[in-house]
Amino acid sequence: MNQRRKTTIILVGIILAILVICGFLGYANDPRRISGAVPGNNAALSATKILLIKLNYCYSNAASLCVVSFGQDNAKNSLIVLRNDDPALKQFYLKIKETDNLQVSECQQVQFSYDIFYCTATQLQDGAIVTIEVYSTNDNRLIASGLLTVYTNATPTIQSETTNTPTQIPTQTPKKTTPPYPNPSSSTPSYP
Amino acid sequence: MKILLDSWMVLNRDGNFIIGILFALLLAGGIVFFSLKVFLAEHLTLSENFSLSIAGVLFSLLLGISLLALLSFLFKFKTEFLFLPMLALVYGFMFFAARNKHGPIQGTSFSALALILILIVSIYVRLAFISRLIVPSYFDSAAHNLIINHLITSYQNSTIPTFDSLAGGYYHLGFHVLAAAFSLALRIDVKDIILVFGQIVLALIPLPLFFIVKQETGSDLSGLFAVLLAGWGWAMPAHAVNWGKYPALTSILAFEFTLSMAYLLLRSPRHRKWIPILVCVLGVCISTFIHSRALVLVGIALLCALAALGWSRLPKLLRGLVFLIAISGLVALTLIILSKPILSLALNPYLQRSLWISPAVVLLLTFGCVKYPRAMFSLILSLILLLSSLFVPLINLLPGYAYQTLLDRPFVEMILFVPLSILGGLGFAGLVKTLGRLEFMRRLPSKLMPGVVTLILFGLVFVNAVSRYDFYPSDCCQIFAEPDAVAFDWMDKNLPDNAGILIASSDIVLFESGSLVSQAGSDGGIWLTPLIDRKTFSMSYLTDFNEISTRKILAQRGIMYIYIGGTARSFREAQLQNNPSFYKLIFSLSGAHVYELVNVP
Repeated sequence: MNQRRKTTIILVGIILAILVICGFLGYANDPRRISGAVPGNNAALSATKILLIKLNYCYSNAASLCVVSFGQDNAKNSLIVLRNDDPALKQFYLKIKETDNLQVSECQQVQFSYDIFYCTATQLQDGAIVTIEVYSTNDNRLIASGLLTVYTNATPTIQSETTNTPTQIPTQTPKKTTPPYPNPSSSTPSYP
Repeated sequence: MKILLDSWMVLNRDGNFIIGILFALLLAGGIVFFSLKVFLAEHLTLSENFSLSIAGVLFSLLLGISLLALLSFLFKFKTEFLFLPMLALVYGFMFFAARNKHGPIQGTSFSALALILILIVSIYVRLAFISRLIVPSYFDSAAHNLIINHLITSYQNSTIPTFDSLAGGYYHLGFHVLAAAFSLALRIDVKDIILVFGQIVLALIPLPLFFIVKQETGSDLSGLFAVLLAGWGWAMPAHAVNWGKYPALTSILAFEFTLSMAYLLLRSPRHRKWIPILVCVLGVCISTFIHSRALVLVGIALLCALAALGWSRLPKLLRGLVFLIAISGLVALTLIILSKPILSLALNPYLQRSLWISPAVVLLLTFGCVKYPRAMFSLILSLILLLSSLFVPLINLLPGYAYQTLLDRPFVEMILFVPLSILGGLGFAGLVKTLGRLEFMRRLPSKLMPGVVTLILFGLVFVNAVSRYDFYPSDCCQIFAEPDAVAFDWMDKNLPDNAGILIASSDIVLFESGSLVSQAGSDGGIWLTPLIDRKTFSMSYLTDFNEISTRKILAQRGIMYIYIGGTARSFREAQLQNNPSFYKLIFSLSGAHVYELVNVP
């Protein structure tokens, strides 16, 4: 076998191996397969009931469906910001239950992002404990559910949230994106 | 494993245009590959040709785009077909390459495969960096996005942009032209093109170093070692993506091509010298078009080559003396820079963050000096000149910049990996040759010693990459986060189109003298214009909103809203909260707030 043929065979082998590995990783981690959202997949659909996502705050950058933060607009509406990595779930709404009050909140995707959504609801008090359920708009299927404390001025850390009491909320955003600007002698930043 | 999964997520999400960009680069690389095969077949092995083709990708792409943009202006074909005529060029060169009488390129196919594998793995792994980024990092990226938007608008309106219309006379336009072409051809948002193309350029940058090291040493393993060092040895050049230094990074690739062609020029047969000369001249122009500092790099490379030639002709004793002086000069210069608070940052990635790699390269330097003294002298001189350029002032040379140095600190920090990686590659070859001449080594099987050296040194880079290398964006430079994205979306839908918005800025220092370059956006607000096309005004993040004079300035400028992002250099919100009669909170999220000015004086 000459050198050129050997090269071609090895090259084709490498590309095939990469494709197989990519395919395997993709299959293993396909969120639609995991959440059972592939249309027509009955087994997966039945599994959905079991694999109901527990809705919580986004404590890390791991792929998930989670609440980033709560906020407020000029009409005193509450804004609920969610991160949703599932490309199959682009349209959804929330059911928010606070004591006896139940409200439905429509959600929209942020135009600059693949995975950030926000939903508008009538005002939720800071410190209120609410049950939030996420439903797919297409088939009204329950996707996720969780009990959360509303923090409007900060994003809680996993430590502050474990006690589930508003008094534990940090006053500063813990997952601060602040650049440390390690410039030793000057208060003016350089390229850090 | 997380890196692989994150990269996979990006491939799933952005796969369509990642493939589009790679296809365009493949076409551009194909043109270089087959044209080299036509013109210089007898001088290059397959791996050398591949390495040089990677370096020439931007060269070919920019020339092609310029031509295609002209054709498009004349014939008005759809931008989706922008890269299609390049396919014809590839086939054209392929046809002539097949007819080339010089015969097939000889060479080791193993190293070509290794280079291809390194490239594929690099591209894949580097995608993890952008898995969680909404926009490219730092304030520079916002300026790039704006310029690319201007170029796209100019192209669509068939107008030629003036120098000043492009973000106040910004002059490093090569990267922007490429990104604009990709955005137009693939119909993808500019910020996403910047993110993906930036990572692909990063993956391409190390490969051209194979060519020079291989040509100098004749050793494929040495070339591969230089490639690995450049890719994974130090935090640079990859960390520069955190600063949004895309034009500078892109220019490094173009500079590598010019450098390689200049090197080839010295070795090409006389009757065909005009081809490398022509390509070199064009290469200098294109590198400078991408980033003007590349011209300084070309000058330094030329000076070093000439100085090394002169040095090699000196008497042996004098040669040794000059070499010692050069080494001492480099050490002294390093110590001086380390004593300067701001300039010392230039050496951080090489002295602090890659503890194992830099000493290994210094150790290899001694072996390189024995076997390749002229090349090593040239490299040491280049390090001296690169570091010295931090101290050479340019006063009033460039419009809008009263004070500059020949190369600025971030650029020097970014480029130092090039001489260091070549130095490591030559040192590797020197070590293998030196050990090969030892008597007891000759008794061992011939492939054992090179195998062990390869295992140790390649393993060192691998372990360094796994244990110390940061594959994700640094916290230092992320000024735009999720709350900013939500706030922008809300503002786009709820604020009037003509609303003037105040954003925070801070002074930025690059030089030891403390001379200010300019004010730079210091939180997510800097992205308001590029993303939602709003008119913004910037003021220092330290602005005192309690002052009546501040309110008057805001009124004079027609500012109606104030945006507060989530960085330490955002406006201090407490001052606005304390004055509800003047500043009304209209949007609030942890990390993003919008205030409306009321009762304006």
